[in-house]
This record gives sequence, structure tokens and C-alpha cells, in this order.
Amino acid sequence: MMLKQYLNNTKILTLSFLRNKETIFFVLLLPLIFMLIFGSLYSGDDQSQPDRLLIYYSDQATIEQDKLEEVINENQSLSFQYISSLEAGEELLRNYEAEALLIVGDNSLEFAFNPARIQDNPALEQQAYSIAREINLREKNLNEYLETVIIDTESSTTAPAAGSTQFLSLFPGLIALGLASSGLFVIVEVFIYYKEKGVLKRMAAAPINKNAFVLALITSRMPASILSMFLILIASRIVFGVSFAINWLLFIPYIFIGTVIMMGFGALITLFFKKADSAFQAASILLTIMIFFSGIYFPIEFLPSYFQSLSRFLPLTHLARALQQIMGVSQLKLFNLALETGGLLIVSIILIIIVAKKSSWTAK
Amino acid sequence: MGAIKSIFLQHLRQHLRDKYSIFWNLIFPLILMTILVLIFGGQIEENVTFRISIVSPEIEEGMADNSYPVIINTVFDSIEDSDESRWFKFYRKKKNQSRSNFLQEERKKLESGERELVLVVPEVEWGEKVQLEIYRQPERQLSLIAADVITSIINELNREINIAEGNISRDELINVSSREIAIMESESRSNFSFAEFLVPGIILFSFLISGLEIFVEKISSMRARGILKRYFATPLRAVEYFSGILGFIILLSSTQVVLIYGWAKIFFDINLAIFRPEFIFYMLFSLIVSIALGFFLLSIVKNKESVGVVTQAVIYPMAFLGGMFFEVSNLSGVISLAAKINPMYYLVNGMRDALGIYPSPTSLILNLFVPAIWMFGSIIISSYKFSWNPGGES
Repeated sequence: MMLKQYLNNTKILTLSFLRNKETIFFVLLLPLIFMLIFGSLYSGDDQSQPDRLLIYYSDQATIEQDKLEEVINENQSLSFQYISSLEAGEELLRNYEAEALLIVGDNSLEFAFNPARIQDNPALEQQAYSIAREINLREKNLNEYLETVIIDTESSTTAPAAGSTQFLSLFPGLIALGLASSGLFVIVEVFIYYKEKGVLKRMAAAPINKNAFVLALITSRMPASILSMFLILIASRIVFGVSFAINWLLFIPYIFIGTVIMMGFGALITLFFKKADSAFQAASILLTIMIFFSGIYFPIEFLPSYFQSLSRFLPLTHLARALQQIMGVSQLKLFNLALETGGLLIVSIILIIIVAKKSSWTAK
Repeated sequence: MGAIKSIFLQHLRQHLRDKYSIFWNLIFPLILMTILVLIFGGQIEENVTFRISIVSPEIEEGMADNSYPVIINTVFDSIEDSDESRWFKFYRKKKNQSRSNFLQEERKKLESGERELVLVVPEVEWGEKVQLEIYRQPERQLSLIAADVITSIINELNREINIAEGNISRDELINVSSREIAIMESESRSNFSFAEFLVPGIILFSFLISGLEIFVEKISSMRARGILKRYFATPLRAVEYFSGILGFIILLSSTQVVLIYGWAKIFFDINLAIFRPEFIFYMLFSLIVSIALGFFLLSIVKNKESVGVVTQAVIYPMAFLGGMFFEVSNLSGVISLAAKINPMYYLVNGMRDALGIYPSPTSLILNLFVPAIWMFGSIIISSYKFSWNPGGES
């Protein structure tokens, strides 16, 4: 009997959830829109398009053109063109028609950059210095006494697609955003909005098992979470050619767990607000704050330490980080992941139970 | 006039009563600006410290001064004693600790995020080639930067050793330098400020929200509830209603400009002449274009629920692909096309140019022409399709 009630309620709540246009937009379309926007912005770092280097040979230039071209050609992420005047080069840089300008002078190399290229300049500067170092070695026959070997810490990432960490981290972050949009508002909707509208009062008059209803409510958000996750994965493959080394055994359960964790956060909001409108607004504000401080779109490492501390208290930060590990973007630390996820899940379930028990279905 | 004033005051009171509207329209742009300046504007450089472990062989008394471990340690010691020390915190092994133990511990700390980098210096004789191992964590931006910084220091060391070994004189080395180009010719604007670059974008973002969200939401909500239909059954004319709501939007937008400018002036020390006639023209033009786009949306999407969704779906791509927050020239394909036909791209270029922050990469004609096409196109379509009472809803 309880199972039948659970299944019926799940079906009704799922359909009603998926019929809501705003829901579809925030859970399914908004993460896709952001994927296209930020994916396109960050994919500039993935070296799919070579950066354009302008070369200006001054009258005093002493470095051989052949040697310079040889070094630049070895760097496949760069294409170059010669320019006839310094002013023309700076103008092209200013108009975003090139990424860097190299001025070859009397035994000197000067690199010029556009300061407005906030995202690209650090990588460009490193490329510039590696070119200069290589030319110094070849032109002057220097000995490389100290050689450096970069060793990356063991990572489970086997994603074949090239890309910066920020670019690859975007996709797990967007899946986390989909889970957050799917789970955050549900408790508010049911235990405040439904109550305000008298829906719960009418349901209390019916022979319905409250536990079956709450379980059905939790389950009803899962199809949207799964759909959102698949849309991001498919679109990232088609649009950006990115595929991930996903640990499916962890991934599928985590989609459910992540949604429940966000429901728990929604339950916490419900404890502080009595009116549906206030609770929805507070949830929206918190979601927006979480989006900016959880490192989905922008790296949080450059924020002041107090903002970094704040991000540790946001569930979306943990969801995004866990999905990055599960999708092979960062190193999988199973013990930490289990501890963190388990802790958040227990707290969330307790919060949902508190709200479900505390809410009177009959009082309006 | 009295009717216009009543409608204006009604919307103003409604807005002031709603603390969430105040948050989204007045406070959120300030938060967004602060976050972006903190992340991209180099305002927090002083907060960054690279925690680096140096795993080198034991330096014993009597060890030759020109042994690699001694040279490398001397370099890092001198960094610690210099002004650059605020950027770095170096960790070295304790006296009674074994090298392999220390390396193991520090690698664990690197993985757990307690270190940005581990540098391993092997024990080799002077004159032999040395391979220095740099352990980094690729998923952390700070670790990647730390690796670049240490590589640069090692390259510099290489040059110094070559000089010390008599392979080359300092004068013979190729002199390498880098600089940022001057964005504006004027001396007062020679230094680029990301906060100044961002202010016109944030102002434009607020206007876009005013035109596409507040304006559209207010009209669609009253239209759906049949309030407009009842209003127009009274002597109130549509033009008076529109003028009242427009007055409210202008007041709200002016408040937004003052707040954004004041916030940026106080916290980010910007220096912008926002009362320049060209900039005021661009602000008015932007607001008119945003409201025209709002009318366009109200014309093609009649249902209140759908209007909310469509405006959100339009605002985010327009804002982020319009170059309001960072430049978008490295986009390609369809997304690049979406940026190039976006009126906001031309408006923000024009605004930055008018303020003398950044010369517009697009011509003045395009900066006026493309938004004007959107504006007139929206007005023409709206004049045919817009209804204060679509579908006879009541």
C-alpha cells in the first residue's frame, strides 16, 4: 500500500515538476547556456587555436630570423606574422587581433601584452619566456646546468581532451549547478508554498502516508538531475569535444546524493523563513552566491582568504569538487570524498526529517 | 501629469517595499563587480603566498660554495631576505629528518593543498648536468603559477652559472623583458585598471536588467493579472502608464549608476569622468535599447511564466557574450557570431571609449548602428505585435 502511494506520488510530483517552465529553464537550460558561454571563453586556453604573435624586427636587431622562427615553429600553440612598425603592432594588440608582440632589438627581446587580456596573459607570458630561454640557449650556446622536470601529482584524469584545468573543471561544476537547482527549492516549495496554498491541508485529509509522500518528493527531483547531467555530458562532447574518465559506479549514486544534499540545504532555509516568497528569494540569493564562491566559473584561489573560508561552508563547493574527482578532472581521494559526502548526506537527511516532522500539514 | 506621477510613485513604493528587489537591482551588481575585481583585477596579490618545499641534500660544513645545493639554497635564502619574501614561504627538512621522509611528507602536503610546490634538488658534482624535479598539482591554479615562477628562477640561475663558469659575459646574454602596452595615449590613463574597465560593463548590465527584467516583469505580471486591462478602462492612457513606469526605470538606473560609481571609487580607487556628454549619451542609448528589447520580448512571448524564462535566457548570453565583464575576442564559431551581433558588445565598447578607458575595437558607426538596428527592429515588431492585453486574458 505504502509502495503504491509512493509510486503514484512520485509520478505525479515528477510530472508536475517537469511541466514547470521555470524549472526546466533553471535545471536544464541555464547550465547549458553557461556551458556554452564559459566553455567558449575558457576553451581559448586549450590551445585548439594557436595564439597570434606579432614580430617586429627593429633596425638594430641582432638575433637571426631563422633561429627565431625555428624556435617559434617548435611551439605549436603559436602562429606568427611580421609587422613593419611598432605602432601597427600595438594597434593590432589593442584591437584584440593578436595576443602578443615581440620586439627584436640589439641583443634583446621585448614582449608586449595587452593588459585587458586578463585570462590569457599569464599563459602568454610563460610562452614568451620559454621562447626567450630557448633562443638564449641556441644563439649563445649556453649550457643548461640546471634542467627542470615538471611532475604532476598523481591524478586519475585520463580525459583525452586537451584543456586547462579551469576549462575541464567547468563541466563537473555545471552538473553540480544542475543538481543544486533541482534540489534546493523542493523543500521550500512543498513545506512552505504548498502549505500556504492549502495543498498540504487537503492532502492531510486524504488517506496518505506522510513518509511515502516525503520519499516520493525526494525521488521526483531525480529525473531532472539525471537529465541535466546527461545534457551537460552530451553537449560538452558535441560542442567542445570533451570526454571524461567517469567513475560511473560513484557518479550515478552521487547524482542522487548530491540532489539530496541540496534538498537538505533547502530544508535549512525553510527553518528560517515562514513565507514562501521570502524562502524562494533567499534560496535564489544563496544559489547565486554559491555559484560565484564555489569555483565553478572562476578560480577561488585568488580570492582573499576570508572568501575562501566562506566557500568551504557552501555545499555547492563540495558537490563541484566531488564531481571533479569522480569525473577524473582532479585526483580521486576516496576516503576524503566518502567522509565529506557521508557527513553532508547525514546532516541533509536529518534536516529534511526535522522539517518534515516540524511542519504541520493541517495548519495554514 | 498626475496620472504619470501616480504610476511612477506606485512602482517606486512597490520597489522600496520589496527588499529582495533592492538586493537584486542595487546590491547584486556591486557584489558581482567586487568578485570580478578581486579575482581578475590583481587587487589581492598581496594575499597570495606560495608555500614551497625545498628538498635538497644536507648542506654540511665545509661543502664547496659552488655546489648546486649550496647555490640553490643561497638563492632561496636571499629571496626570503628580500622584498619578494611576502610571496613565498619555503619549507626545508629538519636536521634529524631523512631526505626521503621529508619528500614523502611534503608530497602528501602538496596533494592535500598545504603546499603549492615541491622542489627536489639532487646531489651531484659541480659542472655536471642536474635535473631538478618540480612537483606540482595541476588542478590548482596557484600550484601551476608557482611552478612557472620557480622555473623562471631556475632559468635565471642557469644564466648566472654560465656567467660564473666563464661561458659567456653578462653583456653577451640576450636581454629579455616584457611590458604591457599603453591602452590610451593620455598619460593620466597610461596604466590599465581592470576596475575601471569593469565599471561601464556593470552599469550596462544593470540597464539590461532594468529593461529586460524589471520592465518586462512588471508589465507581464500586471498584464497577466488583467490589471492593465482594468487600468485602461479608466481615463488612464497607455502612454501615461508607460511614461510613469519609464520614469521609475530612469530613477532606478540613475541610482544604480551612482551606487556602482561610488562603490568603485571608494573601494577600487577608480578615476572616471562619468558626466562626460558622450558617456551620458551612451547610457541613455543603452537604456532605450534595453527597454525596446523588453517590449520586443513582451510582444513575442505573451505568457507571464514564459516571459520570465525567456528574459533570463536572453540576459545571461547578452551580458557574458557582450564583453561586459571581460573581453570576448577569443571566441570562435557560432558563439563568436552571437557576440558579434550582440548590441551590448557595441554599447560597452562605445561606453569604454567615451570614458577614455579603452579605445573601441569596433568603429563608432558600428557602435551606434548595430544597437540602433536592434532598437528600431524591436520598436517596429512591437508596434505590430505588442498588446497591453494579449489573448483577452482577464
